[in-house]
Amino acid sequence: MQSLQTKASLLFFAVFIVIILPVNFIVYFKLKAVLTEADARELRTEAEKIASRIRVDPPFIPLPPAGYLLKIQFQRNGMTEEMFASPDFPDFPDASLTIPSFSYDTLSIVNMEKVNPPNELTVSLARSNRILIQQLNNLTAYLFLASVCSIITAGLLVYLSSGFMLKPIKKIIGVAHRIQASNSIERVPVPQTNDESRELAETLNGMLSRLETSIKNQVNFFASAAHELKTPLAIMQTEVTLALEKVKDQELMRILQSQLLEIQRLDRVIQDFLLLSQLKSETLTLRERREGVEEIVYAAIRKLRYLCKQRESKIQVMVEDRAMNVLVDFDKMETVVTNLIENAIRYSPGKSTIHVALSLKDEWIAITCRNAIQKPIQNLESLTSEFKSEGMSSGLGMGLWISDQIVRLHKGRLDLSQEDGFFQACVSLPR
Amino acid sequence: MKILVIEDEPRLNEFLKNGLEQNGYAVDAAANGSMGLELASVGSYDLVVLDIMLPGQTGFEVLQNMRQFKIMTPVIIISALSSSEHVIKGLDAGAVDYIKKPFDFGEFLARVRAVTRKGDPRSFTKYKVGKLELDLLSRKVFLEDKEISLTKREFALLELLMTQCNRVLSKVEISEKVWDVNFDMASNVIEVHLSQLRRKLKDDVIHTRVGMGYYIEGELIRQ
Repeated sequence: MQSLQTKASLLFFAVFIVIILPVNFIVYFKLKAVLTEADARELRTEAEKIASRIRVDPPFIPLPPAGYLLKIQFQRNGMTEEMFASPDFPDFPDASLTIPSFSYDTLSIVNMEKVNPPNELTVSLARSNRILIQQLNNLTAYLFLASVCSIITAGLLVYLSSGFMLKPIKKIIGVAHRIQASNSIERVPVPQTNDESRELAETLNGMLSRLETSIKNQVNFFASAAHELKTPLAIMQTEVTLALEKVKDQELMRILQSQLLEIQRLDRVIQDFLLLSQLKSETLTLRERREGVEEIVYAAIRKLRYLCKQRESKIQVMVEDRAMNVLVDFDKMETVVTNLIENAIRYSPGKSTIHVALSLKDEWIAITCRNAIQKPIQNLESLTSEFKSEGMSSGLGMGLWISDQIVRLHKGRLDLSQEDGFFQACVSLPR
Repeated sequence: MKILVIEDEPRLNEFLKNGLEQNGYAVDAAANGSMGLELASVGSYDLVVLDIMLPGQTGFEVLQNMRQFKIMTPVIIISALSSSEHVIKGLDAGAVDYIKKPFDFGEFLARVRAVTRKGDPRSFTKYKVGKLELDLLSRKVFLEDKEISLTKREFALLELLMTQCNRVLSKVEISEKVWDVNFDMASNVIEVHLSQLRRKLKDDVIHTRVGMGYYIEGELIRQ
C-alpha cells in the first residue's frame, strides 16, 4: 500500500515535470536564439568594419582579425567575380550569399552587401562557431541539471514536509494498531496544532471513550449477570444434591437428577455468555500453563457425567502412553472440550458411545471427539459461525463458535468433518 | 471437626450448614463478613468456608484481616466470581482452595475432607507398603527413600491402590474413585496411567489379576 506521503511526492513530481520541462524547453530555445543573434551581430559588426575599408580601385583589402575567414565578391556587368577569399573559406552555393547569417559546418557566416558604384560588393565573413556551440551545450547542461535538481529537491521537500504534516496521523494509526492488538484502549495523541489533525485526534478520542465505556458496561453487565445467576444456581445445585441423598422414591429421584442436569447446563450457558462477551470485546485473557491434555478431557467428562447417565451414553477414551503436555488455559480449554463432548452426547442417538482420542501428530496434540449422527449435517463449515446451529443445536449455536475462537487464541485449529454416519470434531494444539 | 461458613445468601448458607452437619461436621454460620471475622477470632475452627461478595467486608478483606489478626485457620473460598484473576487473588491472599459457584456438593465435601484431614490428628497421612511410602500431606511418594515425581492422577491412583492394599480393584472401581466417572470399558485410560506409574516406580509393585483388576500386595503401615 502506498502512503499518502509517497502519493503526494509522486503527484508533485508529476506536476513539476509537466510544468518545468516545457518551460525549460522554451527558455532554452529563446536563449539559443539570443546567443545566435548576438554571435551574428558581432560578426556582422566586424564585417561592416572590413567592408568600410575595402577599396576596389585601387584595390585595397583589409586583413580580417585572426581566426576570421574573409571572402569578397563583386558584381560587374552582371557577372559575379571573386575579389578575395581566405584559403580555408568553404565553398558553398552562391544562393547562400543572399542569407544574412547562417551556420555552415563548424562556421558562423554573415553576408553583407556594399554598394560601391559601379561595383556591388558582397562581403562574407566567417569564424568558428565552436564558442557558440559550447555556450549552447553549457546552457543545455545547466538547464537539465537545474531541472533535475529542482525536481528532486522539491520532491524531497514535499516528501519531508508531508511526512511532518502526516506525523500526527501516523501516530493515530500506530495507536489504532496497538488498540487492535491488545485488550487496552489507549487514547491517540492530540497534536498541538490548530488544524484538521487535531480535530481528527480529538474526535477519535471521543469515539474511543464511548467505545471503552460501552465495552466496560457490556463486560460488567455479563460479569454481574453471571454472578447474580450463579449464586441461585449454587443454591439450587446444593439443595438438589442434598435432597438426592435423602430421596428414596425413584420417580422423585429421576426428577431431581434431571433438575441437576439442567442446573449444570444453565451454568455452562452462563459461562458461554460470559465468554461470548469477552471474545466479542476482545477482553478474554488466557492464563496459559503447561498442562496434561488428558486432565482437561477428564475434567470435561466429569462435568458431563450426569448427562451421560441421562442419555445412557458411554464415553470411550483412548490416550497415548506418552506425556501429552501442552501450553493452555486449562479452564478455557476445558470449556472447549466440554462443548464438543456435550454436543456429541446430545446429538448422537441415545445409548451411543462417544469416542474421545488423544494423539500426538508431529508438533501437534489432537483431541478428537467422534459420535454417530442420525442424519448428515448440512453446511458443516458454518457450524463454527456465530449463532449458526444448522439444525445441530437447539440453542443459539454459540458453543462451537466460542470453541473455535478459544482454540484460535491458543494458535490451534478446530476441524469438523462427517463420514459414514459419524461426526468428528478435532482440536489440534501446538505442543 | 468444626467449620465456620461465612455466606450472605441465607438459603445457600443453610444448605451448606445442613450438608456439612449431615456429614459429621460441627458448623457455625455467619451472614456477613464482620460477623464471620468476629466468630473466627473467638471460636476455634478447623476450616472457614468463605464467600467473596459479602455485605460490609468482602471475603478478600475478611481473609486479609484474619491473617492480620494471626488467625491461621485454613480457608476455602466459594464464589461466583470465576475468572482466573479472582482465583489467583484468593489463593494469593491465603486461601487453601477456591471453589467456583455453582459447585458439585460431593466435590465440595471432598475438598473439605482434603483440608480438614491435614489438621486432624486422628486421620492417617502416611502409608507404607514394603519399600514404597506415600505422604498425603506433602503429596510426595518415596521408593527406597528416594522421591518419585508423580502426576496428580498417578498420585491418586497410587493412593487408592495403597490405601486398599491387598484388595483387587476393578477398572470400574478405579475409574469411579480416581476419575469420578465411568469410562467405557474399551477405554485405555487406566492401563496407560498404570503403565506410566509402573515405569516410574521401576518395581513390580502393582500387580494385575487378569479379568479382575489391579492390586498392591504387602503389609500396609499407616501413620
